[in-house]
Amino acid sequence: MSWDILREGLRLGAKVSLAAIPYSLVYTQLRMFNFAFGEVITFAGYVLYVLTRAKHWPIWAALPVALLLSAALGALIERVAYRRLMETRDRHLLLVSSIGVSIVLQNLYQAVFGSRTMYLDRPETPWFAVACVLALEVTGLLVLLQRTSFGNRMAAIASNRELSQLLGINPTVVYASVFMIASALAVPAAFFEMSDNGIAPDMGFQIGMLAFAAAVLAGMHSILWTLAASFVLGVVVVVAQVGSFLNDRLIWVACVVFAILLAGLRRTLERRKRVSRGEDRGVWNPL
Amino acid sequence: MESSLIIRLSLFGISCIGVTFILGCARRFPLGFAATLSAGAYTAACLRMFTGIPWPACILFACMSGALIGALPAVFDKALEGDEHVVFSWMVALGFAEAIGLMQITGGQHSLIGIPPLLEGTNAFAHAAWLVVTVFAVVVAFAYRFRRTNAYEEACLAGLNPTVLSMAGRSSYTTSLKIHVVGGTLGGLAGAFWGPVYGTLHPSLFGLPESVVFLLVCLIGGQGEPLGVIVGLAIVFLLPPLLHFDGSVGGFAALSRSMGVAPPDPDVVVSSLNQAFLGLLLVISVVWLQRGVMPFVQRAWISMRHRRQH
Repeated sequence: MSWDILREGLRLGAKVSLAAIPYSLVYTQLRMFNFAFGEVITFAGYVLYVLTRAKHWPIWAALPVALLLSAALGALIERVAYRRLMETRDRHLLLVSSIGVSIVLQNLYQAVFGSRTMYLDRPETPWFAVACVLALEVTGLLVLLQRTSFGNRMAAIASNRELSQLLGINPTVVYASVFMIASALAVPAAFFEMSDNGIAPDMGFQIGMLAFAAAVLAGMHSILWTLAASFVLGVVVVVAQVGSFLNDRLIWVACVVFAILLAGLRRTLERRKRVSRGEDRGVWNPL
Repeated sequence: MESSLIIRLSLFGISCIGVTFILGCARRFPLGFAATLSAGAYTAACLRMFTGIPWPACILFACMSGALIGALPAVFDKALEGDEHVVFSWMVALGFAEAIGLMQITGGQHSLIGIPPLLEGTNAFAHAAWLVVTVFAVVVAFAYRFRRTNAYEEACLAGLNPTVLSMAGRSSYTTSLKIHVVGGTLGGLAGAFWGPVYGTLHPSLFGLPESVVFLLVCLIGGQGEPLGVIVGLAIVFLLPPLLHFDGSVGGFAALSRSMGVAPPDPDVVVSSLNQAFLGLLLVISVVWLQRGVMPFVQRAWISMRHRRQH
């Protein structure tokens, strides 16, 4: 494998991990896969596109606005499509609702912007810029989760919601905040993806499926494992593309199938180990 | 009504009956149910094209391959402790189906073309439509009959409370497997008609969007309700044209211009709004109408009969 392929793989892995970490964050709180997150990435991308290309704002001014608008969209989705279902605790319903939201948003983008790919007038971002933003995001999240009272509240609700409520923690506020944080984190993912490949209504879906595969591969319980899985997946996808082992249509299907099968295998092995040791299921662990 | 719409509604109806069994009894969300259709469609078409087996035998084999794909998620269900990964096991099934559709023998990325028609002669398409409608009617009748059997009751119990079922000496895994096989068989049956009726098959015909439509029809109609499938089909397929989204094309064009982009083609806007409406229906049915519209329809029917009696 040449250095170029490895570098491209790591670059793709970094972009995938920028999208996969918010997936993982939402899952640790709600035990749900937020399929609509891909569309939040697309939303952030279109906000950046409209502000920089149509309104001629500088990118440093457009980024904070995109961050705020994406967080607001995340809060809106949580309020309309998820909050009522969180009380029923049926994760299947949450998942189906997120698919519904994803369909609505993707088609609205198509109705407004059309299905063509649009590009920013920017050179491709250097790989160290992606790496720096990723390092910043991971460090920030780890500090938030482990060193702040909000992180403690999140961990408390994730491990025992009823007991946390008795201690005065409001799960609704925590859930809404998690959705807002995760949605705001869509902006860096959108920025790097659209800088490289342009923006289309299905941009978030494409990168979102890879992110989902990485998050599943990592077991959805750890930010650092998600990071590692994203890099592995990035390299695998680039090698498959360069070697033409798989066509474009099959790559994401193969990634998702592989990740789910591996996750299933790992869960089965873990269960057998637990049963043989007579242990209970572990609780939430941010690392 | 056009023959092609009748055929499409009937094939979707047959599939949705399979979905509604899995959804209503086993309480599982078959998110990749189109995989069973894909398996059935390609099995029937390839057998007919490459071996010359008569259509009834091809349809039988298609049902078997649909049942096999339908059984996969039930097997995963046992391995994955029945949590949300079960939903994704349907996506694994969808991945397998996609792989089948992309193999060399099934035409790969290009369509599988030149599938022999189901019926020969003049007006064959209209006759095929009637045949498919008849099959759909038989499936609905079977569904009502099946709902009265002990197997159905057991399957519902397995979905609601597997512990009680195991206390009664029954295996919830076997029961769930049976209902998945029944659902998969119906998916394979619907798929078997696809190729000979339309003459061509492509992997994109049986993807996640189709599976979501099946789910939407069943959720709107009411989970586990065969009649709900018909009501759901009517809402999902016949309601969007009545809403006249073409009236809002101008508004969207103005919005596009205000964003600094060229407005998309009006047809693209209308079809996108139709799809967005279906997505919205999915959210509404999951969040606010978890029992579907069937309870309202039944209540309206009872009150109408009551009024007529007095």
